[in-house]
Amino acid sequence: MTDPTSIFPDPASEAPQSFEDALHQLEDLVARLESDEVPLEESLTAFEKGQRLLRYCEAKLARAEQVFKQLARDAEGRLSAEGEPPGES
Amino acid sequence: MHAEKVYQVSELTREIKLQLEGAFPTLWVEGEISGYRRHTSGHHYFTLKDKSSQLPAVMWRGRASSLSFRPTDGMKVLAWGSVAVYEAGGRYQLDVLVLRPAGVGELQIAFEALKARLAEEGLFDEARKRRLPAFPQRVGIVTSPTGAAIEDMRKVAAERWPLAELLLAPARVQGEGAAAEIASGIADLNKYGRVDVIVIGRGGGSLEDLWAFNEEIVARAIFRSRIPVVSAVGHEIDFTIADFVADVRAATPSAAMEIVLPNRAEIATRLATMRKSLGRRIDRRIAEAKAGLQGLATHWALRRPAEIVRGHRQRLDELEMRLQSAAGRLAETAKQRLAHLQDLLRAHHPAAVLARGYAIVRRDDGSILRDARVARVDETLHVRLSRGEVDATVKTIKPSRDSG
Repeated sequence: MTDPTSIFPDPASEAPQSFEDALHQLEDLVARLESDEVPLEESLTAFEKGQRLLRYCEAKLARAEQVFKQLARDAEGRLSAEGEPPGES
Repeated sequence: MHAEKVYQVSELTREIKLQLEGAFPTLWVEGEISGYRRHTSGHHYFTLKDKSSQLPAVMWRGRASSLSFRPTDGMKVLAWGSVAVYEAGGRYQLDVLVLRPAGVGELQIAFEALKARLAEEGLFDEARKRRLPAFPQRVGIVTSPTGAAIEDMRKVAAERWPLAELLLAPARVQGEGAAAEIASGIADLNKYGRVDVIVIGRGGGSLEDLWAFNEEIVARAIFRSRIPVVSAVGHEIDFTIADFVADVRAATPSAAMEIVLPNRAEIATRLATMRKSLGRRIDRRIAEAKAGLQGLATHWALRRPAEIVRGHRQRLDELEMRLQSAAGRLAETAKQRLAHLQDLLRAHHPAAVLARGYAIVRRDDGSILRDARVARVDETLHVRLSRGEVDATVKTIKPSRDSG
């Protein structure tokens, strides 16, 4: 997949910005494929992209672990988000 | 004669002042208001009393202007302040910092008064309620770091949508100073940014416990928030002022998380549906491609010079590979169709055709000769065979009957 001559676009080059973004792209893509008269090449591209987006979304869902942070203020009043100290859940 | 010290009045008063003011910390005093006066200077003077005693009290202008209710005679109140000696008058009094109605009846009165005032100002207008984001990436929470509310919210969020980060702005949710902490928590989350929605709340409690959420400072902080705010004060029946100002009201902290976050199970179903739909579409498209490729193969192979065919051939190989990789994830039947397509393509490749004994005849200009009538007697023609080429001279021309 990293072969530069590969006809497959590098998945990382067009990684979705967020889950929501990926889901919307997927929905657009399915809608486009469902409209008739999509040229073969375009539908293959769409299908491949769809596969990647599906894998992205499903992986996100499967691997997600809650991140919990607390907002804290330093001496100068700057705000920062601090993760949970280890050992605490 | 006088062994004992003689005090001047002011001297003694000063001494009393030092002693008295040093003896008491800032404290809460409960009493009933009498003789309430709003001076033109902006300071409020009144007396706190109970059955047997009276305590003069003053609320200076700065503090009095932030009162969320109108104190009236006979009203039971809680006053937070410090004991002070008024030297000029020779009396002690309570410097009141915070005044709050005591008892449910009084709270209710204050509540209704503030509610009416804020409603008139437009803080509850439906038109300004904002829509919540469908997929928040970061949820800001303002509540106690040690309460049941945060535990409940984390549990629901982990179950429902662990993709969202939770960012807690810790604040006390009851008692003195709670309202201010809640308000600054909302402001801090706004200042920190990158927060898509804010949930403020606490678990259930008595009306007094929930009082912070009825304070004006909290209402104003919600109103000022650029980020949509969901109120989640654990009380099914009563609404707080915060509930009225918030963009969305949830009955409990857990319910707030259910409103704010998408449901993982639902989204997974949506994804599965799309996966199926994608598969169906591409399956159909592969069937169509078969027909398309057949057409291409039969049309091109005999009509175009070999190198052009090779160019297209490469393109077809590419498409084939992609079709195969697509098909690989789909039905085995699609693969079989592709194998068939490959055979078909091979059969029509110019080399294969030439091998079967056909020849390609070109004129000097390189054009392919397809029609005998075009040829000229004595013209040299270049005949491409399966192996090698021969040049030939035209002797006679015999147009076929059916072509003419």
